[in-house]
Amino acid sequence: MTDDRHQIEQKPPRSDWRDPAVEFRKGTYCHSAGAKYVEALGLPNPRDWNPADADWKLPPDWKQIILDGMAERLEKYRSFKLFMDVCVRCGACADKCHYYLGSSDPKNMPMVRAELIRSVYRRYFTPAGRVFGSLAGGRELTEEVIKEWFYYFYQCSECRRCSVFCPFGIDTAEITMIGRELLNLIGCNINWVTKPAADCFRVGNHLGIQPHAFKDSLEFAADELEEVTGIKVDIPINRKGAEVLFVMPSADYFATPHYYTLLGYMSLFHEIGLDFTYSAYASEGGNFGLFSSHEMMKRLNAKIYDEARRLGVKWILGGECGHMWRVLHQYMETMNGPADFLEAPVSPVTGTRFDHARSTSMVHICEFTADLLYHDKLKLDPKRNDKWVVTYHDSCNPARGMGLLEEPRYVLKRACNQFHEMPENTIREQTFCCGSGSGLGTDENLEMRLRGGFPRANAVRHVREKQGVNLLACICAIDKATMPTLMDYWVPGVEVAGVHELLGNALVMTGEKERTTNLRGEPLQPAVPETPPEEVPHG
Amino acid sequence: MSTEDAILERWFARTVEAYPGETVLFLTTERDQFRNPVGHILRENLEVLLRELLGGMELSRTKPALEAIIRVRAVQDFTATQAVGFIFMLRSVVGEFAPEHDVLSIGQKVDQLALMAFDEYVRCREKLYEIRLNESRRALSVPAAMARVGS
Repeated sequence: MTDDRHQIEQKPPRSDWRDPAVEFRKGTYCHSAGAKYVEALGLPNPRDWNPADADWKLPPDWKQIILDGMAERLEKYRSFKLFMDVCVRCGACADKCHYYLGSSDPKNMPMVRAELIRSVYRRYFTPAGRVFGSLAGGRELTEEVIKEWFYYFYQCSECRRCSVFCPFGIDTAEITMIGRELLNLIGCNINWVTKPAADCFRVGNHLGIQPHAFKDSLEFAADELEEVTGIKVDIPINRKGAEVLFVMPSADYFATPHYYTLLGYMSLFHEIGLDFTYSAYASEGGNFGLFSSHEMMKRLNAKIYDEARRLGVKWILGGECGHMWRVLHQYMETMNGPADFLEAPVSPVTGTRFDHARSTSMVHICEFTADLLYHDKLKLDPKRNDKWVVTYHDSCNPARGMGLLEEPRYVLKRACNQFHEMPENTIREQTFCCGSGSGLGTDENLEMRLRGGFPRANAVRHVREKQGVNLLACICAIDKATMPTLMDYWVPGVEVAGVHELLGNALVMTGEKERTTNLRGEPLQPAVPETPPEEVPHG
Repeated sequence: MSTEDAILERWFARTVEAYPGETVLFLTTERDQFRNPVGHILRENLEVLLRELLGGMELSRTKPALEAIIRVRAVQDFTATQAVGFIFMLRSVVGEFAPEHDVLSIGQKVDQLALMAFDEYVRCREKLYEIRLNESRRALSVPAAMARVGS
């Protein structure tokens, strides 16, 4: 007997990568931006449209707009020009993209994704391409190409893993950024980036939380913390003359499990008596402008220095967030600096001067806390985290965007008794993305996110099976929002937490009541035993 | 190479043919389980399935192996039939390399595996809706808690 009756074709048709046709299948792309949000930001071509439609309602001169936009950026950004010219297609990046590894789609190989735009560059901006066209590796710019760009540039989470392996140092994330900027010029934006950016522009944060709700939310958190610790912490908001301005991603005060990280910050600041303030205006550290255009990023970032200046603080402390730190660390000073009205950050507790952060005057909370621990300024009881067998996911932007590798681990190893690393080629600068960064963490894009997150989940599964890991710690708001979903599907039984949630659990606060629960309100439990305990009969 | 290894290699090769041509070589040759998670999951679990198919079809071993493969293929760019179709290929592969096997018995076991694979595929697709809902609930949990306090 043979399987001749089984007539279903298993092999996909062999196709040329230069063919731009893509199928917009539900679950694998993000919704288009609503016209009102595009309008609110003053971006071009606001309209209602759907990526799955044949007609994208592009402006009549869309092709010229794109080519002019490319010309402008080739002139303005030396990096873009260089990245268009220097790739030799050696393939070192090919199998480094989590989307490629999870989807097996060759157009997710970073050099092929870059080639989608590079081929257009060759055709219109190089002498050989102008004359010889496709023979010189050029491609005509058509509406199909625009759709292909939209599909694949919103399938790159700008995590920069591929750039670690590129011998020329090509940062494919920056190619994606330019690709998205160009798409924005003709109104091809996604809602999950544009709506938060519009909210942020209007109110100050991505979730559109107004100042009174911001205050309510923090006060509610303080009440929750009091129930756990017996200590009522202060909530200073917009307090002029404070030494430090604290900026966090808005998800920290309005989403779970981020919220427990906020309780951790609050415990820490109270315990060390930090002279600080929150700001209801700079109420968002995240910056979805990064995922649309450099102008938008600059516009949304400006409030941080403006508020620091208005409140007269000496320096700025930043919470756990991923792309927020790429903007702060790599672009803020150039865009909205110099920060000459601020001072070099100095820890008021240890006296450590954070000279490396002098240019921006902004310190990551993991650096700040690691320094406190290094100087033995905090009393910790790691047994309170014994419920958890912890591993650490290096969030892409802090790891690759600012080199923050050791400090979170230093905090975790002091706050938790059970900590295990994932395999070496999946952590630190080689960390795998959650698959939902750069504005792709939306629910309609879930299948693509699960593909992109599979390499990370695969490594988590490994430590779950080998060491019984049940908690994935991270320092990124997008991770905290999307990793629980990723774990639900790929590695059930693993929860997600911020580093400062675990620190807050372990922190012994002066005058606290006996802790019976962790910051989640769950009873404190003894260590996970080596062997399952014998069943205790009920009654 | 033993007959069983030969069957496994051919079955693996025919299974990865479902992926685009540029990817087949990578899925086949890269053996690091973290650098090539899809290839690793396929190879490791096809081996288990083959052993069970030629042996006792122990549910405690076939089920997790099928689950691991289908969980991946249920979210990749496959239709339902493409996602589970790799099971049926086994009939001709076994017939090619080990014609001495009882074809009828193998066929029945393949059918059994295929039915289990369909169940698993449906379970994974249902799981997608469940986790999507859970994500929305998590996003709303703090405001909901605040609303309760305020009421």
